[in-house]
Amino acid sequence: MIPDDLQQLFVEEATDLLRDFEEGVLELEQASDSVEALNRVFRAAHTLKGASGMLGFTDIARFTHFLETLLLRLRKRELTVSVGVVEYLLRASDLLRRLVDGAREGRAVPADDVADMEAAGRVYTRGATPPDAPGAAPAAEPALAEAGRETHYVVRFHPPDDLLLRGLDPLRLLDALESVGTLLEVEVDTSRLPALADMDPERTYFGFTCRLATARPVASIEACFDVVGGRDGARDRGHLAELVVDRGLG
Amino acid sequence: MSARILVVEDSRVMRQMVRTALEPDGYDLHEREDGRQALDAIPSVAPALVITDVNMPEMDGLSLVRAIRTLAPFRFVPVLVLTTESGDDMKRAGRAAGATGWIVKPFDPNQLREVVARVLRARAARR
Repeated sequence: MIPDDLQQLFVEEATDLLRDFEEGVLELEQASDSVEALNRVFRAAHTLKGASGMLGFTDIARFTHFLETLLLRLRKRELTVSVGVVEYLLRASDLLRRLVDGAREGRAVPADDVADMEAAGRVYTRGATPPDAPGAAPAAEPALAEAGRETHYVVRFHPPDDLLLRGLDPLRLLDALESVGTLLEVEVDTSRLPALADMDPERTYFGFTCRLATARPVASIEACFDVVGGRDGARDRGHLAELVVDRGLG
Repeated sequence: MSARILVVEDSRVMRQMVRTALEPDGYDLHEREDGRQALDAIPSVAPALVITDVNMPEMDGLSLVRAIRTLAPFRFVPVLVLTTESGDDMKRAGRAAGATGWIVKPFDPNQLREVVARVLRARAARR
């Protein structure tokens, strides 16, 4: 349940953003190569995606995510601003307005309307990679929560200080973790950092606490640290990372 | 004295969500709407932590992180990046810019509280 004042703030902000979106599209219609206009449209869609996702208006969040994919193609010049694109974006804006009205009045817009609009836009996004992998599902998103066999892990990783001398880079281990799932958060532990005068530039002092969302088995996470094996692989690995199964987001 | 946190977000909804999550923990929250405003405010606000959005008008979040890292008295201030983009490119870019960590939107308010507390604790421990 969203508090009334927050819902009102959302509707106000969304209304401003949709005005920006529409004005930007109309600017693009006049000057199809205007980077400024395209940025304005993109930022409006992006901000609306963030705010709607935060409040659990998942239909708006998903549709703006889709629009972002299309707009990114325009940005990368994989797609040109045609009459068809402008017309589509204006129709999309009308739909967003209905969705925001729906959010204000607490009634849903038929899911088919959103699905149809997405289907109509897919001609412009075909072959595009989405702007990012879907982020953490908000708590109030039952569809995703139910479907997700994803588990959240906290991986605490404090590399031995001679890691660099062994030709390894702690940041590469983070990259390896990223290949297993989605790193929701990485926190750097600087508590072992010595005074500057005592610091050896060839040693590592940082530790990392990572929050990882993945559907892969624990062994896949552990495998990321196998690379650090060395003389006493098993002991080292245990020393390197501590794995904690985190609570889910539900 | 409660830790001062500078929140940089162009979305009023998002600023309010951050405020709602962190205010009960007694932080002294300051808000700015884009990177340029934040950079101007940093010397007077002197935050213990900066939480910034990425995609903003005027100056984006990553440019802000880079700029903070060149400000002699504030270059070691932790900066958490609040982003809807969870892709590898984004993380690499954040890391390269000097961000302390990132939080993916939509965020779980408790998760944000924990991360903020941990980052501030780590900072206190270093001093």
